[in-house]
Amino acid sequence: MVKKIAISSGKGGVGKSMLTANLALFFAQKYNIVAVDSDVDAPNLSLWLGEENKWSDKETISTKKKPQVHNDKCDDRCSKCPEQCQFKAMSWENNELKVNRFLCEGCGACQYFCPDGVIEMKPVNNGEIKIKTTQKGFPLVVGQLFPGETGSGEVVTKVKEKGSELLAEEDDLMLIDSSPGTGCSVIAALRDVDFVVLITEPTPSAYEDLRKVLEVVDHFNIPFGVVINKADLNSKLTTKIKKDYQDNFLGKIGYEEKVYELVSNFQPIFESDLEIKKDIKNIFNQITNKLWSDPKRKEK
Amino acid sequence: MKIAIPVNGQKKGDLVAPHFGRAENLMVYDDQKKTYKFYENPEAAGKEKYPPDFLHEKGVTAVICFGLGEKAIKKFNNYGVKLYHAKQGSLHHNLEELKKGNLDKLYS
Amino acid sequence: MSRIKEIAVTGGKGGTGKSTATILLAKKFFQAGKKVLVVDADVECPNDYLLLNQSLSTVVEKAYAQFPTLDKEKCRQCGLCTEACPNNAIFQAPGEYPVFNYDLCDGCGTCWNVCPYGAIIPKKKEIGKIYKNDIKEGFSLITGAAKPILEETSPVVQKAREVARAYAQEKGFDLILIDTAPGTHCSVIRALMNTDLVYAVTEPTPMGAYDLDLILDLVKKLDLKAEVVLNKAGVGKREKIEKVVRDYKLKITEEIPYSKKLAELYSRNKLSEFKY
Repeated sequence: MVKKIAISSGKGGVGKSMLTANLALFFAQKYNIVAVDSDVDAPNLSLWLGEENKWSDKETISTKKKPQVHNDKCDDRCSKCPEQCQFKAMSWENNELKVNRFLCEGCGACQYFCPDGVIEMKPVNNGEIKIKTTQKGFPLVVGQLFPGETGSGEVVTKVKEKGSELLAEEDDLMLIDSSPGTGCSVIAALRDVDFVVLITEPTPSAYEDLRKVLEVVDHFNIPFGVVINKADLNSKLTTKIKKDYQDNFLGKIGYEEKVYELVSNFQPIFESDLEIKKDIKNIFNQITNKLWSDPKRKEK
Repeated sequence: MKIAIPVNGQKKGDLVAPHFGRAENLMVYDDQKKTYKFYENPEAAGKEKYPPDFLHEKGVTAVICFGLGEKAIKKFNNYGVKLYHAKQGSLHHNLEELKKGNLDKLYS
Repeated sequence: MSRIKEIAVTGGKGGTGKSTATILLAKKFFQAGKKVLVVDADVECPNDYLLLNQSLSTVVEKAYAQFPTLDKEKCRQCGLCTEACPNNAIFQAPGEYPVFNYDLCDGCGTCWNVCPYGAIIPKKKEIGKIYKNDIKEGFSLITGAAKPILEETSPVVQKAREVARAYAQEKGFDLILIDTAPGTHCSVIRALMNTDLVYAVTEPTPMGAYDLDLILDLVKKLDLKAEVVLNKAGVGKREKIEKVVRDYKLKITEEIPYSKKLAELYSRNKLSEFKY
């Protein structure tokens, strides 16, 4: 049975995509995997994998509809639309009903305000899904929300579905890189996963945000593990976090400035000889032990 | 009762103007005769008549708009004119809402 | 009364240093004699109060949204609401009353508008709190904090900005600095709209460049003025960043040099000790 792991953090920039990419490379040595980038606002997974921007398949998707206003049908110019819109996206201007497309959530409630059919909902292209086979041979599915469009949660759901479509009988694992925060796109990324890897760093901000994302994880009752990245930055706080989450602790990753150089040259840590590669390998081992009682030992 | 509403246009389906002082016209509705009358806004036209005085002469006892300057509020209060907060929408719609009692007082 | 200048600090990519830049910029303006109000509009994970060594204790306002409740006496179990809900947040077993799943509900109001029997009544529920911290004379912080497990957090951003504007008028602040969330989705948009200037904070990595392009695209769509702040300058490669900045006909107007010292001070909430 295919397992699904999400990597999340609460705080942005602590190393979700870095970890997802390098875990994927470790997993790919012995397991059949699919990697999914569901950080649809700013997907970076392919960059951390050292992959070029070349895709075998690009599909524009539409998960949202937006209102089209037929002003000629409006007799009354009543206040229902500006008042009933819960997102305050409608207003009257120059005798026409205007929808602010950046405030509009595309919920479609407005088509029901008006019995005269002034509002018609029309689908909009709000994102795209890109697919390729990585250099190591596993599929990578990336979701991208078009900037300014709404529906990030739904785009995430679509990207995960695409990832699932690519899973074959013999596949073992789907790795999902999620977005920062705790909102609808994170909720969509965490839905139906078997395990969440929560990555943090020893700063008060990240520690606090970890607590927040854990509320979501606990709410959905998903087993989780904690990784501390850039652990040497503040050894005191690292010790505290390790203690606070000792039952779920997966490991720590050291802080190396050389990472910036590697990453700027599109070289994954997996392909370097940095110390932190060993740190990530330990975490990989911990995760496989948690997921499978009999993790694969033999080469594929 | 005569009700005045600022408007940029001359139809009952036109929208209540966002700024009283800069509105092209002042519409005066007679709720007995059910008529809409459009007058050029003396303030916008740069004419010498001050709108509260102008409307008072026309027998207006209620005004629906989005906001007023302090001087105008004082004048209207002195004339005993009732002030109501307009809703986004047409003149016609706001008059309907006033009839139903759905408009809040302005500056009460 | 002239409107108080509002500057947003954003980035697209997480971890580029939005909050750090916001605090350092706020300090800079304050030391130059301006009265500064910082607004933390990263309502899912607000951090500015931590960086400023504050605690969130003074609630000045609450943010609300409307959520559906069922009047069973009026409900005829017609199923229209279940069908119409754009978030699949209503579940109705055959012969039963519809049940609302508030985890999925974003309060759009489709259900109560579509119900022919007026059986769905919107009820106001608190979705977040707005906190105030007066740090120094002429330096204050407004924080928006959304409740967890919320589908829709932009109304909290909206509220935080409204509270900030009113407070700024009341106390005579010169400038409002808005720290936004990472990303380009609706709550970021609400934090950016109607500002006088946007600082896009980035870092000299391929990820930084990729995401800078996305956020600048959004800022352009919103028709806002922008300047780029290059954080962690000195590591990685800046060519890609410079190309993106050129493509959008913008400039890098601030550079915060990379320093392990800054990173360590940040990890101890001692940003105020950093000499910038």
